[in-house]
Amino acid sequence: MGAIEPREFLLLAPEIFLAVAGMVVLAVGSIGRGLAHRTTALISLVSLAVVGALVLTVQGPAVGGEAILAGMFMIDGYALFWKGIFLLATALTIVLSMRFVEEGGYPAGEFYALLLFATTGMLFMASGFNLLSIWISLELMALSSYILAGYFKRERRSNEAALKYFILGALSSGILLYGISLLYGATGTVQLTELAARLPAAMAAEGMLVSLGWLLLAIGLFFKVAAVPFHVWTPDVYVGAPTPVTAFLAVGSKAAAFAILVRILYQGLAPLLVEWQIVVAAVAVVTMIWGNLAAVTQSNVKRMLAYSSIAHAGYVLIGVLAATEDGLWAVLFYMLAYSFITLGTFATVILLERREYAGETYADYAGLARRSPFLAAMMLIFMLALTGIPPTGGFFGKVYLFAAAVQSGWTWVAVVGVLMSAVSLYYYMGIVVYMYLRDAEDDTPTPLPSRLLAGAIGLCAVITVLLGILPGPIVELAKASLLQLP
Amino acid sequence: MESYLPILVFCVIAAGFLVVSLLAARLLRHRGSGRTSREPYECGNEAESFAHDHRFSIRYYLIAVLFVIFDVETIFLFPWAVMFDKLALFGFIEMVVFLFILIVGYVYVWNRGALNWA
Amino acid sequence: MLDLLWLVALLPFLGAALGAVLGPRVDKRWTTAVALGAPGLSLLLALGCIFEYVRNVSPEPFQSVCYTWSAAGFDGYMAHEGGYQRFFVYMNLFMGSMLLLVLGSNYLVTFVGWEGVGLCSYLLIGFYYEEKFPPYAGRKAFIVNRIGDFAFLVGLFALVSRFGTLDYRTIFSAVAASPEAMGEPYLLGMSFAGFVGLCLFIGAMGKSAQIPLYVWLPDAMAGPTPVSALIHAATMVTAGVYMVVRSNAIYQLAEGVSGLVAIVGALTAIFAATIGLAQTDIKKVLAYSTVSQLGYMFLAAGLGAYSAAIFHLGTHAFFKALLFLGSGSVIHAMGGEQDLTKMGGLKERLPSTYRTMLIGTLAISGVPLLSGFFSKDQILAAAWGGSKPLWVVGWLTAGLTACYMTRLLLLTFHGEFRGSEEQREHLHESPPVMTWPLWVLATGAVVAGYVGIPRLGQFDIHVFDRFLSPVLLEVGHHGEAHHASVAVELALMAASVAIAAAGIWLAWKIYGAARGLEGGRGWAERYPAVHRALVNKYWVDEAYDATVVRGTWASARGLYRFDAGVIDGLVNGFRHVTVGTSMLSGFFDKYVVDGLVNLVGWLTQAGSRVFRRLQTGLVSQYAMVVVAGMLVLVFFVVLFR
Repeated sequence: MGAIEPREFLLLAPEIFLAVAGMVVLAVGSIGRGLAHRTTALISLVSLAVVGALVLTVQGPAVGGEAILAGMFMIDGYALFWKGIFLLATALTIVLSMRFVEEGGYPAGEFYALLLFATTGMLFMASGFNLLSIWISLELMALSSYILAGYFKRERRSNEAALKYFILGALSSGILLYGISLLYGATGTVQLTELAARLPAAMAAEGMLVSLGWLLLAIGLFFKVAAVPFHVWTPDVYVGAPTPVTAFLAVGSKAAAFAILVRILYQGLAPLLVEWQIVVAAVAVVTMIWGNLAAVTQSNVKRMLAYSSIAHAGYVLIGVLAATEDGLWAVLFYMLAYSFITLGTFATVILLERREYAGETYADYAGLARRSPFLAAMMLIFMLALTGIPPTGGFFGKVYLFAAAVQSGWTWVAVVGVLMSAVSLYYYMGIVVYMYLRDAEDDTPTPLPSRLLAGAIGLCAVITVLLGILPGPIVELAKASLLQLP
Repeated sequence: MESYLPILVFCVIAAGFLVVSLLAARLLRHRGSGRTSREPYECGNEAESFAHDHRFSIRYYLIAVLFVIFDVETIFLFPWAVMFDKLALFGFIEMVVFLFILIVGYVYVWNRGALNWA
Repeated sequence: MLDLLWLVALLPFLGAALGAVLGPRVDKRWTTAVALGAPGLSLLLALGCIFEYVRNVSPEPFQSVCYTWSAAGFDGYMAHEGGYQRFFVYMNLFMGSMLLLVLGSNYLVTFVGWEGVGLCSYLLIGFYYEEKFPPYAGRKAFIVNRIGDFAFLVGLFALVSRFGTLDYRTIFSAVAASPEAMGEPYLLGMSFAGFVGLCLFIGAMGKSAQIPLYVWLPDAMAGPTPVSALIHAATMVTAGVYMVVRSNAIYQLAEGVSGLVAIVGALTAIFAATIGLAQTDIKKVLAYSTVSQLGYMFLAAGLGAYSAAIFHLGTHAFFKALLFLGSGSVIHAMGGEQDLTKMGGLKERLPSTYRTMLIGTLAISGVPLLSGFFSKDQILAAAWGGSKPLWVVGWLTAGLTACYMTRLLLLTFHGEFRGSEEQREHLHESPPVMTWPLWVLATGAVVAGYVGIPRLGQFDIHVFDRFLSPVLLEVGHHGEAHHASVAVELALMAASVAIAAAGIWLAWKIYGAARGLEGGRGWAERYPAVHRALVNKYWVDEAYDATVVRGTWASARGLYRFDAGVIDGLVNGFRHVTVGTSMLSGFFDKYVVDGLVNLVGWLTQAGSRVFRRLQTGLVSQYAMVVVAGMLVLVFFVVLFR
């Protein structure tokens, strides 16, 4: 714990820049009334690009791993990989939001500013190396998300979503913090490397305290990744929140939560490997089963996607569970692929929503292949990818996850994963059936409202397919972004 | 377990305080059932009207919430002021950053018209 | 030029692809240009190749000519029909497959082409998919062909397992190198050559419509026009003959199977010819005639007279194409009528058609100096050298052929017109675009035979034999059938001519002059049993229906019951379990979690406004679930720590 050098702040330039950019967007957006939709969106996108460049240039050289600010944050390849995912996800979310924000008639500045603030929190989370800094970053992201979920403040469902998300999020934060305090009580530290160093002794002395501590900490994070039974908020929030926000929650929040879950489990709680593996295995299995089975009976596409996102959290937990290098890079690869697939899916859903919440049921997708062959084809690709059918990124993602689990001896969990993937075919293909085999009530072609949005969807689809054909480069990248393993 | 003893003592004192003060109030209070004892303010101020009949403007809540936020933020100034010498330039810069963020929020609130009463 | 040989087969495929892509969007002229241009170019290339390397080729040029011209002739016919583009796409696809079949240098490529023509024939027969019969006929053709194809495949498997390749030259040279090995017992008491030969022959039976797999061909006449009928009658069906001849190295070593080929061929020839005597549909008569002529070709092939088989294949292509196109012209003139009993006396109204069809009829009947005479004579000569009983059958068939063809001609063109007034008004000669191919083909039907004249005075010519010589290997000690002496050959010729003349005379006797249908009716009354058998085609279709088709249906139903009962039961069982569990968990979320709250909310709606605010109880229920989950995990960890 030496003295803090100014250089260490410099290393956090991307995060600081993004926070400032968020404030600028907030200020610019608040000038005048209902103006500056485009301007704020543009500023946000540009700042995200700048942040991306800063991450590469400023933090890139520290890819070997450098702890800064007295071990509060860690700059390493693992953090950089996640930051890449977050920045891409946020940028795409902004593109998806533009029409929505404009048509909703709500002020745009707050929306984009909150997205940027949430992203700032996520960036800090990726680098967080101290339970407290992690918790504060998490809260920054979470609080922004609560407001975003309620962004349509005149819509009751949006309000309901925000309120539920907030209350349950507060509960989970409390649990998380309680877990952190118990660990601090047992070991006297919240810094991850020190925690790992002191845990064996603490286990011997205060075993129960340590167990409860890490368990509550993990439960707080399970809540964020929407693992069963801490998923209860997910369906209501996903359905109620504005769809771009849903996409952001499904991709950004979930990925960020996984980033810290893995870091905490692998680095902070490494000595407790055997203990937490069992819990993660149990949660993964329950999550996959519950998420997939509950998704089968849904008739609302967003609700189905909510359960599907729960199910996918279960798949990723399989990779976490493996606790091997293979498992780790599989998680990274999967989250990257999943981000694009999910963003593409929600982008398609957004395009089909006529006004706020209409057009969300399966029946609304009937005859889409005739009304808009492009959207139907895109949706088909995404559904295939979510199911895990080649040639899509979803296929390799799942293969790597399951293979890692099998190699580390968790075959039965992988078997559950495969079985549940088969179940998921039922509801994903349900949409395809509606799109291609059912007749629409009216055959008027669905116009593409925005080339930009269509382009974003196309991009997601292309990347999804590319990852399914040439997974090599990303796998290599993920392999270069590993953590030190327990 | 000995380390938890002060906590137990603390809990006992807290509970005891509650019991003792309520008991004392019960023993000491004026035993009457006049009209005035059912007034909101027993000190003698007369109520203008019933609270149920009177709606407060939503702006009131907005101002109240903003007040609470900024009021709480200023609390951070006190420990900083106390430790000003020790924190030196680093602390000063930190506080400037903190106040800058606060001011951005203030500018935002102002621009949005949250402070306009009309 | 030979380097471009691959283009010959590729061009029609390109034409088909282009046609399919362009579809009905473009003008018909473009379709026509593509449809005729691609095979036209292909034909030019093929001719170029032949000139460059005369001996490298099979009977391909004749057939190419046929398709291209028939496509051209079809232009006029198709002018007022729908599906113009689709038709030409199929046609080009067909040509490509046929060329692939013939040009392939190994069994595999041949098989691909073989299946390709099968597919196209299915598509073309069922071209009018909106009507009832054509799709049925298409399926029938496809299924019957599949039976043969299955055997063909088994034969190919046997070849691969023995030689490790399907290349013709490699296999045949291996066969020629060790004929003894081929004769060793292999399977089911057959030698290897016998087994493979039998398999290939069964394949050929399907494609070339031999007993017992001939039933699809007459029904194939449900195809849209004489041209598709022509494909099935004059070109595709000869693929089987081609394949057997191509595999002659194997057949030479399999005497038993060769005998079977000859016998089946002879039986088919006479069997189909007798049926042809009694049919009243002009296209059906020609179809049975085709089956019968194919029987001839197999007879020749079975007797080792491979070049005679191919020779007949070539001449037959000419006169049968001519006859089919002529019948197309007739049907066109009759406004779609195909029934011979409704025709008659068309001679004056359709002079070109009549004259060309007369030439075709004479050619197929074996009248001297026309092409059919030469090729049929070669086959009969080979039969005489091989087996006398088979010669008798072939000889009788020649008479029957002359008889039913003359009958066809008489009923169509002579006597009184028997159709309706409307049809009479409609009668007209076809446009030149349809008549000029008839004349070209008629010329071919006259002169094609001279290619194969065995000898002219002192000169042993045998142009055709030499043309094919690289294909026809001499394997082991079996050679081609010995040529009979000149005297015997002349006697045989005289016999052929005599029986042909007898056939023609008989037909004239019955149907000639003004007698028309009446004559036939008299004979039918005299021999009712025979007539019924012939009209009903010996009830073969009915027999197949009762045995094979119904048997298949019955076993299919049995299997279906097994499938529906046992397998689907299992699958559905799993599905029910999945859906059930899913419903349970959805149920839990919906009714236990939400339900408690909804119940409260529901009661409150009827109750007070105060209670309505407890709608937030929803979240508290959620929180309860979270806490419950937490407690379970805590319990779990504490217990098993």
